[in-house]
Amino acid sequence: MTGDRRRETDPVLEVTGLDVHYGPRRRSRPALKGVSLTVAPGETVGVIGETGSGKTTLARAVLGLVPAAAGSVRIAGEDVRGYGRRQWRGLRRRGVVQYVFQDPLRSLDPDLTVADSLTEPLLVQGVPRTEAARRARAFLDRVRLPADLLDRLPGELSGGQRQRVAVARALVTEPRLVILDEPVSALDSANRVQVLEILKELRATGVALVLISHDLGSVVGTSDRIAVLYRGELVEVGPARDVVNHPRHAYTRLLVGSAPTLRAAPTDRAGRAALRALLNA
Amino acid sequence: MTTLSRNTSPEPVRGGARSAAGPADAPARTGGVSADAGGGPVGAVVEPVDGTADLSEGTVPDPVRGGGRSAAGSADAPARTVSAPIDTADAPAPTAGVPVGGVGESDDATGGSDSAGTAVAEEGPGRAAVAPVLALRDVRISDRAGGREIVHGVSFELTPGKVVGIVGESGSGKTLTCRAALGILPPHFEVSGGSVEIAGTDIATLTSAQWTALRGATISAVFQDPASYLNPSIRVGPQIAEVVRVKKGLKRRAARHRAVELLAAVQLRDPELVYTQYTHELSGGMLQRVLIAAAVAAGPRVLIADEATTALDVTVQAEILDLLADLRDQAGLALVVVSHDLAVVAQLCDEVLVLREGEVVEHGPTRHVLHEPRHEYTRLLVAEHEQYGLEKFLTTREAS
Repeated sequence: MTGDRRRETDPVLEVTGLDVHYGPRRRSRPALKGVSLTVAPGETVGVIGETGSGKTTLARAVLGLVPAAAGSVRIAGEDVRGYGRRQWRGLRRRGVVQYVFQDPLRSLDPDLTVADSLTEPLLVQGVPRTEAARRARAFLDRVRLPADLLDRLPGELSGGQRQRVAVARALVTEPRLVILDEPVSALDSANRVQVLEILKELRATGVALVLISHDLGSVVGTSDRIAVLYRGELVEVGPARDVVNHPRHAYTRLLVGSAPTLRAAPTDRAGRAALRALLNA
Repeated sequence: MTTLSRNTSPEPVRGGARSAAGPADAPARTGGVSADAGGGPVGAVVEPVDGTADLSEGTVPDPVRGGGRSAAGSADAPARTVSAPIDTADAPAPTAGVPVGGVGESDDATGGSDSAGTAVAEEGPGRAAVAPVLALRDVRISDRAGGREIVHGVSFELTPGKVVGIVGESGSGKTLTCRAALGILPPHFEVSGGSVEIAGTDIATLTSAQWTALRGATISAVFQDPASYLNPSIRVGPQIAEVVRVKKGLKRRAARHRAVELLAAVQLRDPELVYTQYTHELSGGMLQRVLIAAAVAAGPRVLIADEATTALDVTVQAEILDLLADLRDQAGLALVVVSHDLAVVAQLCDEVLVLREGEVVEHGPTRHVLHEPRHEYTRLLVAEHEQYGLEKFLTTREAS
């Protein structure tokens, strides 16, 4: 987020030919096949896909939480393949990469107050306590939460507040890259809009976001580019509005054609059926 | 006696060959297969086939088939009712007295189960009306423990083939309303006012044996969290077969066959395999299809879908919505579609109720409520929806 970072043009995330397999070696099942994706500094890339497409696996593989069978992941130029816990912690502490999961209770320590959750990563970085407290308040404000929530535990917050605290916690070290896995899918529509608006504002601060979601509208509305993941493969990558307005791959066309709209135009069932047949051929 | 019974022939889809997809290099737009959407329609075809199975549990009148939908007069249903934005006190029930679906409020006409098959021409000159299969009249639900009224008067009527949507945020009373109609309110909640009639029978008069006969065979439901409604230690197929055996009196082998048919009807890729699987082996989307299969197994006349597609992928959701539309069109199934997603409701529903904190703030034909909302709360919901709804970002929407 500092000036020199923003001038850097090298990709903040480079995923090349990533394969991930689950299951015992003999009968392992590919979860990701040859996934390549590059994220530029300050760019928001949406990854859209359905259940089982490998979205979460991609997030976890990028964060080193599942091992890759092949391919490489470079974060801010560092090849993170084979990194251990300590090295990952180093990356987080140096403000390189952070994450937000769907269930904020998984990204927040239930025994830490909001203030502790927000200041801890800063204190670990050696930021003085008063400065850390000041920044915690600033980030709470950035996610539009009042300062009087600082003394609360995650369990005392609503789902929407909790997810906004999780976003603030991910941002407080001013990372260059944040991976968000379904950050709004557990939220009601008011909170969803609010969190998406916050994510959109973040684009201006220079942080790069990988926004993983099954909801096309959320992703298109916040992302510069979107990547469509289907059965473990990236089948289409392009500028967000271009992809939804001129989808090329059969799956993307099916996805766009399946999204219900308020206008309730009768959906083109024959077309969707043909696309499904094509995908399963 | 005719019942809903479907035989479907969805394309057998196998997870085999993948479509070839180009490698996705970042900046350049990569498109894999350029799909020709030609070819014949191969989607699920749902058609009523048999019409003979007898429901001997009683209380099930003849479903009104065929003309049910048009007779319901869904297109030009009631004038929309809008409750005042602030008025929460004792306003008259927003929709009471409004001839929803063209059926009058006559108490006596719907007294017995024998009346459901007769078309009643009332209200509105020249408009044939059909007796409702589900009627809520100023239903109020209270929490006895807290002594609070939670739902403050919900009214609507469902005739065969008609679809009513209920939208609102969590906590607005959508689910409680559904549960009241199903007679499964949580402990210490009760219907404290108004009435619910299922196929002409006031549910307040039902014994638990009568309820058992009614559920599944006349009124059925699917909820959001499918895993909670299936037994994890029994394969899913036999759980559907059991419904068919108990409710339709089929023999074991026939019930198994029917269960597999139903699993195919909800577009599960390999119904024979799914039949033998346990809940933990199935994805959320597959489980929801299993539950829908179970819910329609006994040929109900009303299906309540409470956030039934919320946890599903959008492509799967579209298929499920198609499936529900088929059941409505071809078997005259009446639907209550509860969702926080306005677009889901817009796809299927003839009319919509907007619920906020237990209060119906707006009720009317879908296109009016969702396209020209009058109540400020409805406007807010629509605005929230549109802010990140896909249609906002589409410059062109393929015509169908």
